[in-house]
Order: sequence, then structure tokens, then C-alpha cells
Amino acid sequence: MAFRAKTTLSVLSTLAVATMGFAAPASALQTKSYVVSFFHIATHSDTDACPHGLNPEHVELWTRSLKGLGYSQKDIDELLISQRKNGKTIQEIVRDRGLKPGQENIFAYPFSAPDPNLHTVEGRYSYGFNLDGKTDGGFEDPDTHEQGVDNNLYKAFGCLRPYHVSLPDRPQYENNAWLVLASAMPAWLLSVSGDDLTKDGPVTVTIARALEHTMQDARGQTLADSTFRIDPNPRSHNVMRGALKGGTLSIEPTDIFLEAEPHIISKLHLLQAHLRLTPKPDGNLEGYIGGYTPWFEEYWAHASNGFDAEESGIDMPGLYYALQRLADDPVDPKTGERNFISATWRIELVPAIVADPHNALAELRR
Amino acid sequence: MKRFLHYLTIAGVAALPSAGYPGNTAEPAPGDAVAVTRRITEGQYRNIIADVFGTDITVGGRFEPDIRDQGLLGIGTSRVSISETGFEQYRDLALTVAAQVTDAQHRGSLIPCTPGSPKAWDDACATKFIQGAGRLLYRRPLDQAELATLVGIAQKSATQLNDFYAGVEVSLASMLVSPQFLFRKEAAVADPAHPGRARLDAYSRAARLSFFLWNTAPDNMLLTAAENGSLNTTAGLSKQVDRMIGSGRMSGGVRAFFADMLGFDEFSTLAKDPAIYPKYSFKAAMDVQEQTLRTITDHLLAQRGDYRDLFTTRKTFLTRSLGALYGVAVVDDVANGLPARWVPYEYAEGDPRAGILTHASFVSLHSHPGRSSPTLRGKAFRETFLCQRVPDPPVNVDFTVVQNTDNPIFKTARERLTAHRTSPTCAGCHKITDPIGLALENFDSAGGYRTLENGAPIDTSGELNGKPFADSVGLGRAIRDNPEAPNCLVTRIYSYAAGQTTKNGKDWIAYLQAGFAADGYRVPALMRRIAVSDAFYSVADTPVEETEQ
Repeated sequence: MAFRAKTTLSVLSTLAVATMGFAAPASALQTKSYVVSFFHIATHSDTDACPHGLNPEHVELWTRSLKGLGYSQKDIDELLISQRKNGKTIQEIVRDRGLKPGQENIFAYPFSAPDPNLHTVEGRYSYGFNLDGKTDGGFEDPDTHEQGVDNNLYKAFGCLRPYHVSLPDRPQYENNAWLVLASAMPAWLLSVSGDDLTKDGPVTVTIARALEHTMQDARGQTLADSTFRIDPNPRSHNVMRGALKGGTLSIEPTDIFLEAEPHIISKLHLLQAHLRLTPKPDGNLEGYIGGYTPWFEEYWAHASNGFDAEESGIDMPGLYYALQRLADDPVDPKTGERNFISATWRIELVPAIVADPHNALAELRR
Repeated sequence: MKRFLHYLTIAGVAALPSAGYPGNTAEPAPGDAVAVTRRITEGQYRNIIADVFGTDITVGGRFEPDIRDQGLLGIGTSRVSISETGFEQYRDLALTVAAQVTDAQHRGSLIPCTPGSPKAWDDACATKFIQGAGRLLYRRPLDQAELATLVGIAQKSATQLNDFYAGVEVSLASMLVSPQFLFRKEAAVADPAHPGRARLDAYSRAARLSFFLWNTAPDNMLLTAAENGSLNTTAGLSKQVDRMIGSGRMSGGVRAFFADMLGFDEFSTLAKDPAIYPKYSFKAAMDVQEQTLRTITDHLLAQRGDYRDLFTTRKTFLTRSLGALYGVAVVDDVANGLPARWVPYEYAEGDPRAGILTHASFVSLHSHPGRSSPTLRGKAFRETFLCQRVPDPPVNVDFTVVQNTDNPIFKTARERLTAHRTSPTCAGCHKITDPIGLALENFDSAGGYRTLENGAPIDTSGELNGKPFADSVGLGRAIRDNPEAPNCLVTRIYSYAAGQTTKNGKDWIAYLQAGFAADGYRVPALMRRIAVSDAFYSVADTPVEETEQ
């Protein structure tokens, strides 16, 4: 299905009479804009994904950790019932299970706890993109069947219980976080501009942060067709070359940076970003965005929620070690560390009106 | 001392002459108008509490529903009483309000004196509060018996509870559930200037005026004018009317009238299928009403516009959520987390949205939950704006063809209604509703714009009284130029103000209609013409013997 374009002229003629005084368009480009309505780690959890089983639920994880601290099974059972022991809440006891003096808080100092060696994904499929050009050793995308897909973020998360799901189900932890917090963060916008958005060809894609938040419709979902202004701060303003082919939108690999909501993802920072979006019959877009992302940001997006994240079934030290182990971008010559991990997120968007998408085009031309 | 006349409220007892009412040489009598008793509406209740005690007093709870009679709740309020359940609701409201007024947070500012001890009875302080509040709530001074009763209630409760404020609280709650507060009972007295005639007494005159212009009870200045008799003089009445029309509170009266005329109370039971119309949220349903009322008050009051231009104006106000419903850009630079702002918006020349008929408030209110309804829209158009009566459908009508929006043969509402009209029993009414309603078919049940239905192009052409038009904009122009539209408004606005339709009052209505035209169809001028007229306060009741001193 082709993009149904609203011409730039029609958008701006509407704006011009809205007493807001927007500038006239530089050309007769067609522009279609969207706002992100859902965003979460892309998961595809078939039966082969975790051959060693799923990682344990939180009670088992805590039991294992607390035994390492010298708690008896009886002590642990009492703690789980009473939620307190020796003047400390269970939250404090779980939090302070780090072994290094002064670094007991395992959310802030995950390396202070032993590595539980969480199970990671070993299956064949994962949504994503071949980032390094190699076709051996990676996943196969279940939609495009591209080989060599690099998505070690999914590999780290996919055997955690809240992430062992496939569409149409969403990872429970991120689903809840998005539903609660997305309307409280400045929205993420995407605009596509081109000579004719109904045909294959080159386009310009803008991904930017808005000044406004999203609103909800009568179903509790993101309200479509509401108006947003692009945050003038260039830090979260990304303009890139893209293409439409067979209705699918993609971009030339580039870097993307977007500030976000800390408890969802503190920032979306991608190196070699890839994008694949397809229009739906209702005019919405859905697809995937991926690239190399700082793995510690992903850790902190979950660890900053502390006890809630662990209670949902994510062993935070275990996640920290898994992400560190699976980091797969080139080694930083200065530190000798790998700071980025290949990643792909599911992204869904609904139509929106962006007040000034052409500022972005002007920036690209400069 | 004023003595109030016992009066009859039987319409037609003593019809006034139909021409040349003596109080104003240019002004005919209003026919057989009567003094009426009306229950205050929810909006009026809330306004009165806010006026008397402040806007931070919460009025929470449900109200007894009003009924619509002859197109207006303003008339229906004279046809209702209070049920047992309704009384419980009013009691709960009264207790809640009284508790807030007398609580530690508010008593310092709302009770005009401090008792000697909060635990002891203070007759002077309680009397002062009850007298002051009672005058505003009852819309006249309390008589000695009423005052004694209310002070006695307060004293008994305060003494038993060892709490002065608890006593005042009980007394205030008693006032708030009394018929003197909940009902606007108009009293007539002999008209000393015209022996054998009657007129509303000064307090009834003040109340009718205040509820008409401000949709609330008389303020202190208006009550004072009633008390000192100046409201019964031409100059005194004009002074008060001009003060009220010049006040920012005038918008409250205009909003209340148009909300009544447009049937906005029906939004409380309006439902849309969220699967079909996801943008029509609860907030959107609230916003569409506000959009229309803002448009009306801005056009009529701020811009001093011609009433008829409400059907063609491209100017309106939108929020971001309404912008989404309409699919237009609305930039609101208010900080997030604060209430959405209303942004002035003007549609481009040639845009299909022009005039209040194209507002979502009209097209969504007169639609079904899952589909539009040219018939309901056409019926509402004729009844609301032209004061015509469209009969209800017969009970045995087969709606199958009309309701089946998935019919592969009849893809558009026009095609379905054409098939439906083949029945002679249906054709008569549909002939007068559908050509109007079909002109609005570009707007779906939620007010969203569309050009196709089931893939078929929508034909919006139609005619009004033989005058053809191509679309919604043409329909707006047609009614804008239809002389019956302003004439209907005159009838409606007088009926709303008086709580009754006119009987034998053709000359009075014709006088108002001619004045409305002469004033350039300015609604504030029409309201003033009504408010300063002798005829507005004249009643056909037969005074017996007593006169207002």
C-alpha cells in the first residue's frame, strides 16, 4: 500500500489561516507526518528461542541471591510473607544484595553482585537488520528473511519472562511503562517528504522530538491527527535520506539521537540506524528501527525502576552482565570496551500534523 | 412593607389587549402571559452557589433531570416538580455546600461575623449570616417568620451540638432544600399604572431579568433596585439592564440560552462507537459543545455580529483534540499538563466547514452511535432553527434499508433514504428533512470530514424551501438568508426568558421580530428590547386586591 500523501501546500494553507503565520513552503513537496504510538524491544519468541528454558521468576532469583548472602530458606520464606526482616523491607534487602562494601545497591552497582548467567536467545529468528554486513552468525528476520540480522539486545532480553512474547502481544514490562508514561513525555515525530509519496523513490525522513505530548483517543490509544511542533533543540532532531519501495519506508544508515522518558528509555541513541516501516490500511505505520545502541542505557532504563523491574522478572545484575557480554560493536580503542549493542525496536505510528516539517528539509539542504 | 398578591396562574384568564400596551407606546402586549413557577436548572444552581459563596465551593452530585417542552428546557422547568429521589439529591447537595461554607477553611470569609465562642450560640451573628445569605438565595429579603424559623433551626442545632457553625450549617442546608430556593416562583401584583392589569412584583421582575441575562439569581445591586422600587421605573429598569448587558457575565446568559436551544443537555446521553469513531472521546464531546458556545458568544457579544452570520462564519475556536477530530492543524503553545487552550481558528474560503451547522456539536448530536443521520439532522435543523415541527415516525416503520450501512447496492445515505422513501408513509416527512440533512453528509457521525461513503462519492446537493444548494456551505447560506431563522430565534428567546410560549401574542412577537431586524439582528439588542419592555413583565393574571407598596 502506498503512502497517502497530504500535500505540503494543503497542510500549510491550513496552517496559514490558523493565525499562526507559518512560512510558505519552499517547494511542492508532499509531506506526511506521524507520531510514535508504541515503542518496545522487538521480540519474536518462538519455541526455539530459549532452548535452555526461560530465566526464573523473581522469587526464585531472589531466593538464589539471598542464599548467597547467607539467608536460610526459612528466613527467605518468612521474608516473602512478612515483607520485612531485621528492620528492613524486602525492597531494601533485595536492593542491597551487592557484595562489595559501599556498593550494596545492585541497581546502581550491578557488578557488585555475582553474574547469575541468565539464559539468552539462541533461536533462528529475530526482527532487525544486518548491521555489519556479515551473513553468518546472525538471526533471520521473520518478515523479510534477511540473513545476518544483528539484534543482541533481543538476545539478552528474549529469555526473560516479560520479554518472551511475540506479536500481537507486547513485552509486558515495556507495554505497561509505555501506557503509563508515553503521554507524559514529549512525543516522537516522523515526517516523510518527497515529490510523490504514492510512488517508489527517494524521500527525506525527519525523526524529531515534539514540544507536545501525545493525547489519547476514546479507546485509550494515541490520538491520531493531532498537531505537534518540533522541539527547536537540534539535539533531538534527525534528518536523513530515505526511500520508498513497494510502500515500505527505509533510510540510509545513519546516526539517530532522541531524548526520551527515562523509565521507558532514557534516550534513543543509534549508530548505523536502520528503519523499516510499512503503512497499514487504516493509515498508521508499523515496523522496526534498529542500530547499535549504548547497552548501559538499556540497562538503566530498567534498573532505574528498581524493585518494580525485578519484581516483573528481570534480574538486574544478570541483565547487566548479559548486555555487557553481548555488546557487539567494535572495541573502543581508548577504553578497550564495547559500549554499544545491536538492537531493534518495534515502532508503531499514527498520522499527525507537524507544524513546521520544512525546517528540517532546509537543514538537510544546508 | 410589601404585601404580596395572591394570584392565579391560569392562562387566558384575562388576555391583555393585543396592540398598544400603555406602558410603552411602541410596544404591543405580549398576549396571555402568566406568572410561572420554574425549578432552577443545574447550571443556575451552580452559578448561584458560586456567586453567593465563591467558586471554590464544590457542587458535587447529581441533579434531577430537566424536561424539554416545546423545544426548550426553559419552558420545561415550569412543568417539573421534585421527586423523592430528586429531593434526596438536592439534600445531599445542600449538606455538602453548607458543610463547606461553614468549615474552618471558608467560614472566616463567608460568614460576615465571628461568634463570641465557636462552641456557643450567638444570635446576632447567626441572624446576620442567615439574613444575608437568605436574601441572595431566596432572591428577596426573608420575611420575619422565615427568618425566625431559620434562626431557630440554627440555634437548636448549635445548642445541641455545642457548635455555632454546625447550627449555621444546618440552617443553610435548610435554605438550600427549600422550595423558595429551588423554585423561581413569580408573584404578580396589580399594576397601579394600569388598573385592571397585573405585572410581576419587583423581586420577580429582578429574578426574571437576572436568570434571562446572566442565568443566575439577582445580585445585590439588582435586589437593591427591587427593594427601593427603582426597578419598577423605566429609567431604573433600563439602568439595571444596561449594567447587566454591559457586564462580562452576559456571556453566561447567552451561553445558557443557546445551550438550551441547541439541546446540548442531550450530550449527557450521547454515545459513539469508539471502534468507528476513536477520536470522539469524552473530552471531545465536551469540547464540541464549548466550540459552538465560544463561537456564538464571540460572534454575538465580542464581535457584535449578525445572528444570521452564525450559519456562515468561518471563524471558530479549537483545541488540539478538536483539531484532531477535524483533521486541521491547531497549535497550542500552552505548557504540557495545563488545561488545553482554545485557539482562534478561521477556515479557508471555500472550506466545507462554515457556520455552526458544520460544527461537530450539531452533526454529532443528531446522528446515531455508528452512522450519520440526514433525517435526524434535517429534523433538528427545522425544529431548532426554523421553529417547525417535524412529526415523529410512525411506530411500524421498517428501517432495515436505512440502517444497513453495508448494503452493497445502496452505498450512501442518500441512496438508502431514496429507497426508504418509496414507502408513502415515510415520504412525507423525509421530503422535508432529508434534503437538508443530506447536505451535511460530508460529516460523519462524529463530525469528521469525508467525501466518500463505502467508496461511493457523497452527493451533498439539496434545497431549502425550493432554494437549491450544492453543499453544507450552501445550506448555511440558505438558512442565513431565510427570514424564518431570525423570526424563530425571537420566538425562542422570548419563550426561554418568560418560561412560556406566547398565546394571542402575535403582535408582541412581530414587534420583537421587527425590532430584531432593525437592530441588524444583534442578539444583545434583542435581549435588551425584551428586558426593558413593560410587556415582558406583564401577566394576564387577575390581581385581587393587594398592590405592591
